[in-house]
Amino acid sequence: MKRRHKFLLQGKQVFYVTNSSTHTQEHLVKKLTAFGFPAQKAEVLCTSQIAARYLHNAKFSDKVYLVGKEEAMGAELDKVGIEYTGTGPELLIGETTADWKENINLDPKVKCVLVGFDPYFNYMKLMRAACYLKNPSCLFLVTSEESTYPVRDRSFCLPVTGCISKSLSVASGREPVVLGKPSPVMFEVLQTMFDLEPARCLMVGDRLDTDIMFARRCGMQSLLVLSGISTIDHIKQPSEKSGTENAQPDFYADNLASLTRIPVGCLGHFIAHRTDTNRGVEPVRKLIAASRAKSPTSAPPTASDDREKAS
Amino acid sequence: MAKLMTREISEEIVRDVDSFLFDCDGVLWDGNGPIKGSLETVLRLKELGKQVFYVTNNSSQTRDDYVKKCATYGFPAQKDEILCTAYIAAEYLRTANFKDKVYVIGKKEAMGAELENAGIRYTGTGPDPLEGNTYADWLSNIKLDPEVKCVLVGFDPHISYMKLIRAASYLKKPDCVYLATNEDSSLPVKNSDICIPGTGCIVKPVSLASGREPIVMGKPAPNMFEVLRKVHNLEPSRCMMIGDRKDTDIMFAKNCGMRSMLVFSGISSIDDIQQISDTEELEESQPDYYAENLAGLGIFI
Repeated sequence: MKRRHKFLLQGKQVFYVTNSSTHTQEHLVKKLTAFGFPAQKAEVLCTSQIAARYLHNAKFSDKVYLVGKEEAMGAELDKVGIEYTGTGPELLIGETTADWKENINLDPKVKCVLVGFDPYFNYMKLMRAACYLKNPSCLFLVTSEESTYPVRDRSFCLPVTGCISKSLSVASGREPVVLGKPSPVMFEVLQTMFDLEPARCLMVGDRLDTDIMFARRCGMQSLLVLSGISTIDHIKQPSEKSGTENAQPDFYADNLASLTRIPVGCLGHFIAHRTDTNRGVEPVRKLIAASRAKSPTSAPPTASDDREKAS
Repeated sequence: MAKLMTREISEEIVRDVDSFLFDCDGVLWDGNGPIKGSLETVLRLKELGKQVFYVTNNSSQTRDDYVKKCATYGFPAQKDEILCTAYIAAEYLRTANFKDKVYVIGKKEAMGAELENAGIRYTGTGPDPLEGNTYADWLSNIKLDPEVKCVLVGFDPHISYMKLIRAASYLKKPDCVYLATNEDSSLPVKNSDICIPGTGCIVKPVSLASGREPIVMGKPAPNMFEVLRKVHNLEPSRCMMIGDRKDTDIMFAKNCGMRSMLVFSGISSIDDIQQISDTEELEESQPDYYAENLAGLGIFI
């Protein structure tokens, strides 16, 4: 891991862009640092923080009905002084439509429904959120539309935020504004803060429908790693059903470490893996070469350095 | 193109239609109670010697419950004149000779009861609260039952995240059958600022998480008509379906080869009727006839 990040860091900017809504930005910085990844607060973007920022920038001054974790999304809203309600467990009140009509008690100050990952999601929350969304002037925001989270034990499936937001879309008949990948919102924030040029950015991710689509929408280059959700079949047999048809990456590799194991002399092998695009060999050469460039004061890499890195 | 119900059309209908199939929610009654004029219309059709059937996507009640509910409002209904999706799901599994267990997202007193009537074992009904704070906790609390070979999703006010994990995990096995009672997005509650999410809101997350689509028991699938047809020897060309939803009731009628009428006392409104100048192609789910409510037919017959 150390080799990997040192390799990438040589003269390059590194950002962490995650659809996670269950951490605050600060939690994530701590988590990354604990694993040895260098991360400054401004370089870390997560959807809990982006949602709060989005509402703050829009000068939102009403209340949010929040389907999400209080300690993450709630905490980020607190930081920007936005009031919210709805977090935590919510009991089913009564058994009939009449019971629910009587007990729903909607808060007239709510002018936004914000959906992130909420393991306390249940019928009452779905109903409340759908009722708020009957008002067309109530905003509908979601952190991400990813439907599952990878689990090591393959006999299980872990549904995530997309399952909650799509359920609410069916109930309300409305589509949300999506804040996380593949929506370009998070890149736009970075672009403004760091003056980024999209064509000189590479997005590395494991999901075609979020990470790679995000890269394409923002005009960045993209590298798919096969260490997570998407598989080689998604590249070789894209389909509309899996959302992979229009989300083909520029490059792919088994995992991030693969980048460090390619000696310059084996560039041809790496190219054989590239997907069919009009891009030629040059961008890949530049990518590898530029990543290995040390700072102006140090010597360029020698052949023995390459062999050492490749081992 | 859809025609507004008139005296002339109603005479044609009385002449050519022997059997009337009614959707219930939004046609006969809704979240507020019985809909004005609906009972009189149904009673009048019975007087004219017509057969009357009740065909609902609702999975919260058994056929026996519906017999009682109809009786409460005065609608004439025998058990075999009622089709509801809790019943049809159990019937589907029974006729397929299903011998394993079903993981049910649904009410014990409705879907559970109909499965029991059909001699089918099930698990999963009732509350299923979250235990623990992390993915590891939640997964360690789940013991998947190896006898489960079917996931059946219906209306369940106890739907929770744990139930979604269980259902989606069972469906990872390709030999596990995936059934849904219906995909209605909401229950009709006219003139109210409340929205009552329907079974479709529960089916959707299960489908998304599992990456699978269910076999849908209810309208617009023709299953419920097939049962009625066999039991009562119905001729589709002499049947008419009356409902408040185009994507379920009207499509059901079309799939079964029946006439159809859309009423606006539930989910739909006049905006759902395609005007001839709108687009070139006629929308598939346009009804043959339409009226404000069932009384819009009743006043003429």
